[in-house]
Amino acid sequence: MSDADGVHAGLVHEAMLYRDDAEFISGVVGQIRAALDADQPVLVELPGGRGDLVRDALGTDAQRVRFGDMAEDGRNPGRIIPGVMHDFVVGHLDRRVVIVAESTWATRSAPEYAACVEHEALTNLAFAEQQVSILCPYNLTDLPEHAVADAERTHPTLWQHGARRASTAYTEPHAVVDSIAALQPPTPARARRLDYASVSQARHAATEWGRRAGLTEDRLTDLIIAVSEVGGNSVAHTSHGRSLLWWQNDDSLVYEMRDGGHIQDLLAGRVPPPLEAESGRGLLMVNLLCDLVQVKTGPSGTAIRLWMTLPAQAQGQV
Amino acid sequence: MPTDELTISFLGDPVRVVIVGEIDVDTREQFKAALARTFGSDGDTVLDLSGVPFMDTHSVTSVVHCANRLFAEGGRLIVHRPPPSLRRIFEVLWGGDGGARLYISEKQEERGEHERR
Repeated sequence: MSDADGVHAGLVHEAMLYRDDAEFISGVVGQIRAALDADQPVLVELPGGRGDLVRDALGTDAQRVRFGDMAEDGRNPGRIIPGVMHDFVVGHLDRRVVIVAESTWATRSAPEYAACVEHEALTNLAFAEQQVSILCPYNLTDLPEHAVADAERTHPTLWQHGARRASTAYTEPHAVVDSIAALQPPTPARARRLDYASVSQARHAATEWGRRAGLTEDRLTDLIIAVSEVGGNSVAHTSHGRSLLWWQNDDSLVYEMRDGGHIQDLLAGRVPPPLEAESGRGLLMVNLLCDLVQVKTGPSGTAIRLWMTLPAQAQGQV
Repeated sequence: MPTDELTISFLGDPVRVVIVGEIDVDTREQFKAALARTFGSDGDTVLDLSGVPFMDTHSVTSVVHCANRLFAEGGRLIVHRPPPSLRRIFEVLWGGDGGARLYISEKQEERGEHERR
């Protein structure tokens, strides 16, 4: 994080391991106060009511900190870099900013957890050149045991018991991303499939099934935008093998879009292009609109899964 | 049914562009060519999207850029009855408006001259 002598250049990405609220508060608040003393803007993104703990501990200083609810803003972990962090960082390019961001919590589903690990790995790439310090709290009491190993893989340094140490297992982001993709469960046999010729055709099939399964009209709009972006990229960049598959997974609809292309840019959909850019917002919109996005890409093709959570009254049907 | 072509009409003074069809990767070039024909008009330009059930992010970006350009040229772009996807994309990407000079109208019987201030 931002130490007093200001020797850091570029990104500082640190995991903070804690076991209870007292340890959480002492770790987080100390770093926030140091940042405020150095006149550095601070963003705190924590799930649910956890921001209130920090607010109370900061007292009047809390007014100088921007707070957000990570459970909402970062529901899709792929949204955290472009939808939560990016604007704050580029809004203060003249100085170091400090972000406290808890992406990973105990009630995350298994695919969400995996997407969090991927997000933490990609954070190292997305802000590599920026004057930003990101502190990522991990609640060791609630999280599964392997969370420490995953934090070590994705954070160059860790903070525990009031002391900083270097990670012993930091792994290059592309290797982490590959390992996450490799763990993705296969497409279930019950999935329905459409080999589509036009994006319009894929959009209409996705809508029809989504409506029947119980998605609201607003969520159907989000869905058809997402399907059109992925399908549009397929049409623009690949020549064959475009298909749409769909199935229900507990409380979610999953739409998988396949093509023969290979996405080379690990940060595709994670970093907004400049305002004047004509294109480059397709996968970004997908991350901003869907509840979860999984990308598996390689020389033999790409599969992108778009997850849409069903409203409570529609869950368990179809 | 898949549509791979838009129906585009240019009407009246002030300029009114009426589009019918879905705007996505298959039709965006046709749409952008229609938008480009509005440049240089210094009054109101009405883009009638009441016959457009869907627009993708690329095409909404083109509308925003067109609106900004018309504004810089002393004109104004009024988008008439856009599909929900335009509203959603505009809200998510240009939420606080982000400098976008886009006017949205929902009147049933929209006529360009009534929009003048």
